Amino acid sequence: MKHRAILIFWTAFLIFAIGSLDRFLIREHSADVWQLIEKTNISEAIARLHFRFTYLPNVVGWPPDKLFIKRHAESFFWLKLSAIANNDEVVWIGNDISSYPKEMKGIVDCLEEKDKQNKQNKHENGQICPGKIKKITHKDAGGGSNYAGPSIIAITNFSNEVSSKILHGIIRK
Amino acid sequence: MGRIIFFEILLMNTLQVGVAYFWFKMVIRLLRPLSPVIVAKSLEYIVVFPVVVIIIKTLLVVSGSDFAVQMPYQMIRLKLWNSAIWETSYWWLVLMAILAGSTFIFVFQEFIILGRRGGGQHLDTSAAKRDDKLELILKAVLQGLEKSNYKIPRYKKVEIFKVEDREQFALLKGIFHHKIYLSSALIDTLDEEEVMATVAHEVAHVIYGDNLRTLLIWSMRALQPFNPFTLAIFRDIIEVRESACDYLASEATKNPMALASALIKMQGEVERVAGEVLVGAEELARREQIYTTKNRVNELLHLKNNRFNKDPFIPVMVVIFLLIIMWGIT
Repeated sequence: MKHRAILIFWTAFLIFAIGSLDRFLIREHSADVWQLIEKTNISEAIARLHFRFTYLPNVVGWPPDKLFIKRHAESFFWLKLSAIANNDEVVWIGNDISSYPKEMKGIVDCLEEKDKQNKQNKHENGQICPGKIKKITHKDAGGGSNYAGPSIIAITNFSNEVSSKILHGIIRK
Repeated sequence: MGRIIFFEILLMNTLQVGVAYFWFKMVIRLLRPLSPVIVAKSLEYIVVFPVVVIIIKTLLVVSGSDFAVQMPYQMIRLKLWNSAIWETSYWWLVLMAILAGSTFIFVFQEFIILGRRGGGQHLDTSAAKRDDKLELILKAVLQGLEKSNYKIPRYKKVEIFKVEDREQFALLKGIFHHKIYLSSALIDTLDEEEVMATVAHEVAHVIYGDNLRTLLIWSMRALQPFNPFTLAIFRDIIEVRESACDYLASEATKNPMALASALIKMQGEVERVAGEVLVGAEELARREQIYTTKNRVNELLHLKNNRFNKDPFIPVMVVIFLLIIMWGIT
């Protein structure tokens, strides 16, 4: 029993120590890893991604307002779609939950804080942040598209119905 | 782009093996004395698992699963490291030089040095004869192993032969049809219990799947020639495997000290050669043999005192933790 405990402790310690060292050494760099694609190149860059949207509500403009792609890891992306008529309505769609572009920092920090409060049962209003922004995962949206990816998420203040439809409509090329 | 993905795979493999090796070396220290069978098998997993992980990851990518792209917790965020390395003007060159150096050592060691040495010991099998006494010893060893729940698989056959030779040796040849060769000089030097222990050790190699297993592990290692850690691990595997077979042999004979005594007598022969002038690889091989014998006798003393850690969950935990560590570096 003692040996099992030692093995578990040593493994957990090593994972934690190397993980911390990794975060410490590459902390500054991770913020710069997201590359903002220039507006004129967004359509071309979107075409290179391995998915496509089959549904977007009419109120949403296309191509996206902003597209971030991870340097040297181009399967990671975050894109921002806004409603044409109402600039306050916005949806961020992406697939990297370990890091976000700087521009999303405010929203992400708020969502993480709410998440923490929810886990401690200190908050009753779910994960909604100022501007009624919330996080919806592909799973929350019921899954179902042939993209079938657990990591596609939307951070949005669109209605749940619209957000779910957008996520459902993302399919592999 | 292609070279960056290629470099990421090299980096992933090197770090997976390196971290797992460091982790396991510490496990050996912390859980000392750990059964050499567990140590040998775990070291083999450290060489094999990274190849398996790359295959699984490739299949996941091809099948479009996001699990391959996004891990819940990455111990080392390879993609970030890879991009950081490529953004500097020299780090990628330094790492490439290390990986190329390891590849060079692998090629030099495996194809040039071993090629010159003939890839192993040559044996004139025409001088080999059946020997009734050895046949009886082999039978007793097989019965002893069966009593300890170690059986030779049905598709494998074991035979034993005596070879008239002035050199002392015990050899195992074959992959499915195994032949054990004991030299007359060795038989004359050892007493009956020691001969039995030596035969048991060779049979243990059959149970352990040695020649075929070595070939498979070597192939896995050959797939990672750039990795400096696999060089060290492969060397460890060869050494620890001898101890693992000593362990199995002692299970059969219940007499670890007879094997220790046989090893010491055989080492006397190795040390006798020290009087002659040996150079280069031959002298290194001699020294290595003396060092290995010391370790093996030491392990046999642990066996005699029944001090090995026998917790059956330890090997299971080692496999699970190894996979977790390696998957955390993808």
